[in-house]
Amino acid sequence: MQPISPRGPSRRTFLRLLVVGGAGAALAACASSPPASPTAAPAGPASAAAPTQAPAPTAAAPTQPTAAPTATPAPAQAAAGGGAKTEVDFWNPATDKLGKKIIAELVDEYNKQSTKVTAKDTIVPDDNHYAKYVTAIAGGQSPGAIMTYEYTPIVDWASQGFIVPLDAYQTSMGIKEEDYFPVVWLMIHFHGHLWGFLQEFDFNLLAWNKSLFQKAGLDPEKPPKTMDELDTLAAQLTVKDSAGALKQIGFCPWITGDILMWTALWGGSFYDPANDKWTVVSDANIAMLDWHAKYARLLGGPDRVTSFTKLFTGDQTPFYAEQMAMEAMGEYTPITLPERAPKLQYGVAYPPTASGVPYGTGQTGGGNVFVLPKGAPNPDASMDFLTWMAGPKAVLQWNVEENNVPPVKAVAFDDNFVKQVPLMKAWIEMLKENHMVPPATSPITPYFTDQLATARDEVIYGRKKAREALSDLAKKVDAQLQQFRASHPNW
Amino acid sequence: MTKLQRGEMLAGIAFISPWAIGFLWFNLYPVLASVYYSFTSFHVVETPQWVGLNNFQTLAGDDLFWTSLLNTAYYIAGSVPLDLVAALFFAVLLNLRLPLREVLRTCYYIPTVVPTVAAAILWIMLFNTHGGIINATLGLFGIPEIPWLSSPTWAMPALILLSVWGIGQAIIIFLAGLQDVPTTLYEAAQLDGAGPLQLVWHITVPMVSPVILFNGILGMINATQIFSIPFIMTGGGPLNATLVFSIELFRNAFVYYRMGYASAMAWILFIFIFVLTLLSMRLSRRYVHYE
Repeated sequence: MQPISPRGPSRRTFLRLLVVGGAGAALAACASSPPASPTAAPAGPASAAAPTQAPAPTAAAPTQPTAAPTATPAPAQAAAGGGAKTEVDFWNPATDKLGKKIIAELVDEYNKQSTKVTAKDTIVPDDNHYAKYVTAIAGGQSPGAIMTYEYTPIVDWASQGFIVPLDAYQTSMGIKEEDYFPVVWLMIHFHGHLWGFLQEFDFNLLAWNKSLFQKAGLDPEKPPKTMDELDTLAAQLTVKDSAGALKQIGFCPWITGDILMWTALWGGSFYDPANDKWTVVSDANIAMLDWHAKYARLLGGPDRVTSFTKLFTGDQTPFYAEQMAMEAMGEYTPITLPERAPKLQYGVAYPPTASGVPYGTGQTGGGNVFVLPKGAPNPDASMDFLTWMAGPKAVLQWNVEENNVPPVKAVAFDDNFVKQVPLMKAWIEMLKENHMVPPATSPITPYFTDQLATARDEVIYGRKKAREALSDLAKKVDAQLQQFRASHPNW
Repeated sequence: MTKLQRGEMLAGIAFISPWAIGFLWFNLYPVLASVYYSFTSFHVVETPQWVGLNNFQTLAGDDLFWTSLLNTAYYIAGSVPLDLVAALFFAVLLNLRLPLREVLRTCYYIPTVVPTVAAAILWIMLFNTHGGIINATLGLFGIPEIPWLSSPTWAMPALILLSVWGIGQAIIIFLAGLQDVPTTLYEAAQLDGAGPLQLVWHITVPMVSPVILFNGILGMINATQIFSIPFIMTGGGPLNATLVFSIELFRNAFVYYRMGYASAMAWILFIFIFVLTLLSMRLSRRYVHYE
């Protein structure tokens, strides 16, 4: 080994080391490029992996419904003489195989037709509540257009000024309130403005395992219609071992569906959109939480339920593994089941309701939304592209291939559409009942949702009674609302 | 300064400048900016509005803030001493002339390089009440099943136990410290009839006490900022039992977009770490032995 000079390495040696070190660092950087993000797994309900045994409709190109409400908008055409196309950077979270394919096809088709605008399909994972999207907007580097796989951030983004109202484009885009399901219109049109376009929206039905019903000596063709029936069946279908550990769950409200959905089915509501008012403490809401506590007692406590559910990882759930007899199922699920649970014998029905609540009531949890971010470089070009993406042709293709519910009544109720998505028949039928409840369009909804989950946990762990938990929640909501209004006096 | 020295200095500055610029722009500026933001109502895209001490006053009455602070203190109090004892214990063992010593040292370090998400998912399975290896092992000794991650009582102890998984770094630092303990001290003590435990307690521990202090402070700072493991494994639950400070800060910043409020929380976290470090340094005067 060469002795090291007491003065340290010479400049030449130092530079040589620097070059070697730099090359090493570069190699290390290449080698240590981050692995596929763990959160790149489907994050939204519409992001299910492509099934290997997809039903026939997905194979064929979707057929236009016979009664589309508006003609497919024509992409921007170049003025005489042509000119350079304006690029719209379109951020979307389609990291899933099927969603990615459909989006790429739609963008390609738009680009072929448009002579003035080019859309660039940029997939940006929605990790950590769309942190990258928000950071880009805040940093003045907004993309041209944004698609989300969730509805949750939209009201928050609108109230915080991350996205801009689209009222100016409503007429030119041919957007009419009467074309949409009322629940959808409430989701995109709030605080007096139009904020985006839904590509699809999601809600749950009750799915039941016919084999487990049969095994328990129950009629496999008779799902529960009322909450009382559900509770009775849940008790009959729950199996424990001698030590009290759960071997099979009949039903458990906090591990399936959504607390807001159960609230609606109990006739309750936490938010009044007409008056922009939170209604946290009510008899129906209390009954809903008491009902959760009833299941905590039936199943031996939430500890036992969590221990049971943690046995299932990845794509597996207790229902798919045939260890839970009933669950809330979104319309995006059946198409994935041939791959995830090929032997599952199941049926779907409207969710059961409490006394006095119409059978066929449902609560939409969200959907895919197109929005225009604040600071979009060329809003007109962006809107030209979004008009195409939210138009009947693109929406139809998405909903047929993904098996989702279109937001437009004429498309969803068109026989031609239903023929192409036979698995969704029950969901489309439920829409006709017209008892769908919208999500809360309040800027503090994300906070409320977190705190409601805590209130529910306090009840199921026996720390508080339902009324006390909701009263405490109401105080927190008031305080949060006061803080928000102090900083957003115009909202 | 000669021409050569000036040239060398300029070259040095040029070489260090990418780091210096990066530090100033991406570290120092955000840190200083967060001081200002902590006194404002700032919702990311809007102009921050000066609200004075309002954020700090609101924090004082925020139950979740106090819950997260207490949970973090609980985690520090449990994990730091446990990790120090475990790391020193394994370092002493790995310092002995054992066969396959290098292989064993590598084995103990490997968990440190396992990605956090993978480790979290692995530990969810290990901690499972039914069929998890930990409960299965305890069952062999007649200990009933413990609902590790599903009980508000046990969730935090589970995370504290899990912290031992990441002691590889501390073991390496302890090993370096142990190399510096003069063997003559052990020889002299052995001549005086000291046993193995006495050697460790009366020679090893005092001689590596500066390293214990260093690892302790480092461990405390890391424990204060713990985020990924509880975020993935429990999401702060059940019943906010593992809602640590960083998760609550993250929620305020990136879920509720209350950047001013989150900045105030960040500075309280900084003060919390600073006070704990000062206390440790003060206590160290009594217990740490410097040659």
